[in-house]
Amino acid sequence: MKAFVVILCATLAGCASVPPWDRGNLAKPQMAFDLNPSESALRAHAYSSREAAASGMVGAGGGCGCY
Amino acid sequence: MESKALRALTAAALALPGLANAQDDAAVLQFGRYQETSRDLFGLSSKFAPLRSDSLQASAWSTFADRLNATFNFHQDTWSGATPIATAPREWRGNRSRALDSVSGASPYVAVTSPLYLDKARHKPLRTDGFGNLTGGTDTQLVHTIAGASRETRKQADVNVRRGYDDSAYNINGGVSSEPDYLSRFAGVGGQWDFNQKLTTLNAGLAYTWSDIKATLDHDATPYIYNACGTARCNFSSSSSHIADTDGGGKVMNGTRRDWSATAGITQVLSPNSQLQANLGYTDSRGYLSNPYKLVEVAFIDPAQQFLSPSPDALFVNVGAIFETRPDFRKQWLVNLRYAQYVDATDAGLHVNYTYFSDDWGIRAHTLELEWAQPLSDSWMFTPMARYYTQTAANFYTPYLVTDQGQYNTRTDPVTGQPTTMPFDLSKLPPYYSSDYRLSAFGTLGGGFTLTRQFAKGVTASLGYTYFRHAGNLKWNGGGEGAYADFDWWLLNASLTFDLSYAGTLLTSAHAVHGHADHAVPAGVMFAHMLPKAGDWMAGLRASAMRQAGPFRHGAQTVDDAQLRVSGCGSTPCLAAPSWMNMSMYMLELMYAPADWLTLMVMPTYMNMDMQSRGLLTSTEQAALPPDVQAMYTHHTGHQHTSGGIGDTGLYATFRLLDTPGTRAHVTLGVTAPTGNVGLRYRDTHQIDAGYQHYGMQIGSGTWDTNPSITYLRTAGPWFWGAQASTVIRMQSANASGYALGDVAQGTAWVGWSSETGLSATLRAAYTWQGAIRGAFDGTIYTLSPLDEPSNYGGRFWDVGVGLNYAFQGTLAGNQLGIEWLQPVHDDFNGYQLTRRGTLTAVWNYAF
Repeated sequence: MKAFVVILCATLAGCASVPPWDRGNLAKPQMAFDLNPSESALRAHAYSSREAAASGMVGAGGGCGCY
Repeated sequence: MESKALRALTAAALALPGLANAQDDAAVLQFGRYQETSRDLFGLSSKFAPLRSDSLQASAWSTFADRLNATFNFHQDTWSGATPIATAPREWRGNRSRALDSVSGASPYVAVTSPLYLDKARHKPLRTDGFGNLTGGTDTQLVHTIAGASRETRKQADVNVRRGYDDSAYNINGGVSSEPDYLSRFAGVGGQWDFNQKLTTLNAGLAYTWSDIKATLDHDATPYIYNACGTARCNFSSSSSHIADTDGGGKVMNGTRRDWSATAGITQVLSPNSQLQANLGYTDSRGYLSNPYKLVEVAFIDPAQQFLSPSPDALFVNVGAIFETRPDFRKQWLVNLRYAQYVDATDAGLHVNYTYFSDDWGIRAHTLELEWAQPLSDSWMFTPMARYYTQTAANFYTPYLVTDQGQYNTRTDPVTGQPTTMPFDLSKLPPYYSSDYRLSAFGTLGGGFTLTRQFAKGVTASLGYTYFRHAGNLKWNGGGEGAYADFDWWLLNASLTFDLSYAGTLLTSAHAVHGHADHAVPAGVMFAHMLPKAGDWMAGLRASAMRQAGPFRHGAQTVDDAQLRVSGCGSTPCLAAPSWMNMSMYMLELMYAPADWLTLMVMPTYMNMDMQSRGLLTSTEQAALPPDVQAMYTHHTGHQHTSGGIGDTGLYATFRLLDTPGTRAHVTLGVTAPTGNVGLRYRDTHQIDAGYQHYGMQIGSGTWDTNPSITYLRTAGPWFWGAQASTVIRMQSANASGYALGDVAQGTAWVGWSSETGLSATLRAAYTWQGAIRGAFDGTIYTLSPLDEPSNYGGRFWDVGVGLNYAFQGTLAGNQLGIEWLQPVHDDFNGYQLTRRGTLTAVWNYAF
């Protein structure tokens, strides 16, 4: 995993040099990986009840409208 | 019914950043509606409404101690509607008009009795006139055989506890998901570790799920499936499941499964404006992974019956249906990449998410999702999204099977040496087969938006909508399933998020410090709160559960089954009676004071009912019933019945009458709008119209009702007491289904004591009068049990309640919890009714 980070940072310049005071934009709500956890849980639930694959890494558990 | 192995992954997903990272104490209430469009049945319109599912979710984040916090989550889905049970060539006419009622749409037929033919060279279905006469050419069009899913409710509760450190955090979680046919328990652990001045975060999680399946098999389908070879064994065998008989003559599929899953991920800050997350997931599932409600149609080409073929080029076939059979194991892999880019020009966040999925069933899937989170002002955010999904088919997916053997064959018994009729040889079929469209090749394309508004006082409202097209021709690179399996679906969600520490942080807020402890009221009393001053808000959630069980009563007297049978159902004898019935209500309470003397309230509700019936007849008596009544009898007594959905919506205004130190009084006027369904019917069974579900299972009143009440409150030192008189008056004589519930009048009074800590205890008494139902269902209803008779509703009741309330102080000031148990002490029922066992009410209120 560490090797992965190294490769990642080697290919994408500058990723090792973002001081905390430069991370203001990253902390904005529109930059959160999960913009709306309750909503994405519901959507993931709908996807997983109609598709064979897991649609992502979030979810509120199983069950569905899937008789 | 759970269809995926991925619940385990879910538990592990709670370990991810973002989800467990909520800093402030918060509560979320969410409603969701999923709706499908109908499938193309080629000229027939299904009598079953397309599938719909309503979801309710309540979550709370709370900090217990420094760096120790917990997430509580409750989720409930209720669904019903049309669902494909099998797939067959159109020529087999699986969706045909019901024999008893030829005007009404389609009922499922999974076994075909009329003669059918296949083309000898390519095994393609030959076109007929429906009466066994060839009309020339082949007809290869497939069509789903549609059945109606009975209304079911799934409830899930889970908890996640997280402990944070300077550069790491660990969490442990667990939960239960319960449906009548599926019980799942899950537990997981996870951790995350920050490196490199928190530019890099690693996470990992492990989760385990164990599930029990108890699926009542379709009454209409079981005879065909079961008799396809004389025994369930021959078309169904598995080490993880078996079919059992129930007392009511039904069949239940019992199965178990186990899922292990592991996740690992990395989150990397790439620049001041971009970050990337990569996740890997693996799930190992073992046990009963099939869907007990899905069948596969089989065309049996019996060499001994080919003399019935009308042409040398045609093969005569029999059609039977067997349970789908999936492997008892599945390994799933997942790679998920999420990239977020800050767009300086518009202050937006661009999100690109890609997922690759692969399993050992031969399914490969790709998902690409784009989101653009655009703040419109300090308080509004608009997020459009688009998503494309494509998958290949499972290698055992097949719309239907063809086999060169008879459904029944005469063979020589190896033991007796006598010729005997044996069912078909299962080993001549492939080892695994499923016609579930979710295992076919298809694509999904669609998009939607989310609109979020942050209000003052720590409240955020959110509305989301997505619309998708599910189609074979949307599969990447072509080769998808035919258009017969296409459908559209949409999902609407609305939520409210409360920052629970908001009020507590306003140290100058008079009412937050003042609290409501001096005006605590028992949790079971509604309309007792009035907001102190203009501009105040309050949000709350009320949950109550009432149970009736045990012996039947007539008036105040216990009656035995013999008496119940004779007199309990009006003019006809009772054939069945409920063993128990539970009614749950969830009510969202939103209150706002436009003036010191006025509080306005909106109260949407969500209802849930379940019950179990028992038969009152001996097997001899049961056998003597007319066929349709016998079918209904079996259906009613065979298994649990459920109903649920959005209930009636209350709109109220409370006017202050009196406000002096220690004394308050107010009057509430309002109406409830009939937003709850009163037309719920049983799913058709044994090919007959099963009619309305009884009155107690209907979700709303169906009428516009008015609910005036008057409340009086006193306090003196630590003591407080109060009284309230309230009524419910039906403003219409009948609802859309032909009846009106009885009016209600209630008087209640309580006394309570509160301590300095914010904890208070209450004791109250209540007298309730309710009239019987006026009118009756204007359509088919089988009067089998006392609940089907309108005069068996209402009565005069005495109850005693004990309750506890807690008003939070400190950072959570403004929050109040209440719980009350209401114990029946005297019942005087109208007609014949099940003994009331009590009502439990829990309330959370948040004033801000």
